[in-house]
Amino acid sequence: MSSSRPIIGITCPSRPTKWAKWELDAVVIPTTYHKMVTRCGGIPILIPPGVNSEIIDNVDGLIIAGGPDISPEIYGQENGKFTIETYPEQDISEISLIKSAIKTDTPLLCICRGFQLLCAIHEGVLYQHLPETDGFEEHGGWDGNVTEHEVKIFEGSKLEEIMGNEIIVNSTHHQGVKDPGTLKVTAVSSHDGLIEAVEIENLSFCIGVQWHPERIEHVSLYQAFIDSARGS
Amino acid sequence: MRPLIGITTSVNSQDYETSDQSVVMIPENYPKAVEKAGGIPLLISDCGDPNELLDVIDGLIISGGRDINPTLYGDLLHEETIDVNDRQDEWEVSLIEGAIERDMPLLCICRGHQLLCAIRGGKLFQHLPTTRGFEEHGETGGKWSNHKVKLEPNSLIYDILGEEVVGNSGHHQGVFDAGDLEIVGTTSDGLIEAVELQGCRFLISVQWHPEMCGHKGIFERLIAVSSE
Repeated sequence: MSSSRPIIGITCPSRPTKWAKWELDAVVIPTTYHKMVTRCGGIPILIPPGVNSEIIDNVDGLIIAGGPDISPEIYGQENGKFTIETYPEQDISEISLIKSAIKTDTPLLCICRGFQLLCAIHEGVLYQHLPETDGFEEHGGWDGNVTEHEVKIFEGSKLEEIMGNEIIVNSTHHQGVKDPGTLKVTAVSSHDGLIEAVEIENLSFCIGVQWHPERIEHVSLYQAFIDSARGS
Repeated sequence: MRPLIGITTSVNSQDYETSDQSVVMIPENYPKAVEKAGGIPLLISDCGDPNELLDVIDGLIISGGRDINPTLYGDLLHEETIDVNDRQDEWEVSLIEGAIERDMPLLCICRGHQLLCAIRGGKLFQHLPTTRGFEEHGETGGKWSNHKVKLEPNSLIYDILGEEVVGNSGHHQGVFDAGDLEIVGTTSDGLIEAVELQGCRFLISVQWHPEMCGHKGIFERLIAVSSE
C-alpha cells in the first residue's frame, strides 16, 4: 500500500436526525474526523452499525469514533440514571471490529466512546456519570459543553513518543474509565487523575484516548496513526 | 466475501452534540437496504482523487441529497434552488465517470439520478411545483407522497420490478431531458423517473427512493452483479 493513500475506516452511530426539512434515522458523524484523516493523507470511509469484522481486510487503519454511551452490560453493570441512549447494534459491530483489528494488527485509534469500549472489552469498567462521581465532579464539560484541561503522559509510552509528556486536551464526556482492565494506562488527567489514554504494546499502533484529537488540532497523533496505516 | 458497496454521503449543518457542528451523514435506510440485500455498505465522501476508493469498492450508489448546481446543465440558478455545493457535485461527477469507465455497477437515486442525467447531456426542471404540467407531481419540502411509475419493457428495471411500480416523491426538481440515457420509467405527468445506460453490467438511475419503498430487487440485483 506504500504508494497509495491508506483507507481509514471510521465507525459511526445511527440515530434519529433532523436536517434541512427532513427527519429520518441517519448515520451521522462530525466532519472533523474526515478533515483530519484527509489532511494527514488518508482516505476516510464510514463504517455504519451492522458492518463487522469482515471489512477488516479492506481497511488499512480503523478509528472507533466518539458517540453515544456504550451499553453498561458490556462491563457488567445496569444502566445508571444518566445512561439513557444506548445502541447495542453499534456496540456489537465495534466490538467485532476492535477484536479483528487487534488480531490482524491493523492500526487502531479509539476515541472517547471508542476508548471506553476498548477498555470495557479488556475487562475494564466505566464510571457512568462523572459529574456525580466522588473526585470527578469537576472533570470537565459534557452535554455539548467543551472544556480543556492538562494531561500527563507517561514516559516510555508510544503516546509520549508522539505527543510529549504534557498536553492540553479537550473534554466533552460524562462517562470515564474507572478501571482499564488488562490495558496499560499511558496518560491521566492532571487535575483529578482520570484515565485519559491507554495502549496495547507489541502492536503496530493501538491507542485509545478519552479526548477528541481531531477537534483540537492534535495532528501529530493522527499523522502517526495514518503513517502506521500506510505501512501496514 | 460479500461485495463492498460505496454509498455517497452529504455534509450538512446539524445539531449534533454541539449546535454548530457540521456532520457527514446519510439516512440509515441506504446502508440497511444494501445490508439486507447481501452487500457491505461503506459510506464515502470527498477524498480528492476517487480512484483509490473505486479500487476498493465493488459497486456504487450515488444517493439523494441537495440540489445540484444548474450550471452543470447550462442553466441559471432558480430562486428555489438553494444550498448547492459545487465541491460535492464535482466529486460525485468524478465518481460517476470513474465508475462508468470501469463498468462498475452503479445505482443513482434522486439527487444522484439528476446528477447522472445532467452530465450525460440532460436537463432538469428546477422547481416542479411552479412548472406547468408538473404542479401536482408530488410532495416536496420534507413531506412524501406516492405515485405510479410505468416501466419500459426490455429494460433492466422492468426485468426486476415489472411493468409498473409505486415510487415515492419528496423532490422539487425533476429530469425533463435525459441526454444520451435510455428513458425506462415515467410517471403519468411525463416526468422521467428512471433511466439506464445501455451496454453496462448494471446502471440504473431512479428519481424515487427504492431504499424507502421496499424495492429490494434493485439492491439484490446490484449486489449480485457487484459479486461477479
